[in-house]
Amino acid sequence: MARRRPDRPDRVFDEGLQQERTALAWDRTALAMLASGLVYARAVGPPYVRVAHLPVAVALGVGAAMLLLGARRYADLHATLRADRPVQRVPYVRAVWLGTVVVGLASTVAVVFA
Amino acid sequence: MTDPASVDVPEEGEERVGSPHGGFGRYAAGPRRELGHEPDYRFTLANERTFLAWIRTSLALIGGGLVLFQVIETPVPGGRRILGGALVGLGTLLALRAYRRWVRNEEALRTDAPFPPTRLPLLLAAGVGLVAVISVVVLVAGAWT
Repeated sequence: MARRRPDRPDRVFDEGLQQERTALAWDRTALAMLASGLVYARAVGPPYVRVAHLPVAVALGVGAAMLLLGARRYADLHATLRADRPVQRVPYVRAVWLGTVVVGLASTVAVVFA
Repeated sequence: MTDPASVDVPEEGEERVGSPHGGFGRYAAGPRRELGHEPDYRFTLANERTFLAWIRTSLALIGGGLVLFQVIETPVPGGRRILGGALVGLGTLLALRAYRRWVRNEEALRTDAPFPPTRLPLLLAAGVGLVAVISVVVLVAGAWT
């Protein structure tokens, strides 16, 4: 039997690796967001400095923020679960949603009306 | 004042957001934390992953529609605009609905209610299937001529 180390949790606090699966889902979605931003940039084409390319900045910004904040949140959630505190993450969810809607609406305009 | 039982009285501490009958304003603030109880965190995270899966599906449709618009050649002028536009529009629609769905599921978890029914999977399957069939017809017809 392994000796217990003081810095390790003394029980399984995340059965089913929920926290890890959720963190990976955020990462996958971030990659999808970054890729859509680039595809949109390619579809709209040059010149790249104009209003039509604002959604590219939104997608890349939200995607990068998801990756960066995702790593920090992963650690936060670790502490939250170990302390049995409730999980709350509304602002992140809404930001991801808004970014996707912006890219979607802009793409619809680009394809249907361009 | 009518029959008190018929009036939607806010629970103590409940902050009323938007229309009680559920325009978007009702969902903009996120799940109502004063409802019910804190759900098992596994369900909260599962709901979050499901939301993210809808967002990825939406992004895939948007990206796919943009690529299709650029790549495909149709015998009918404007055909690629219609096919690409259908995918991108479907993706945007799914994205628009995803947040509301997440909020409603979270509230259902808090109140031990069943998840609200949704036609989004049907819409997704029908939309993608339709575009796929038309694309096959267009590609085969294009190879023939």
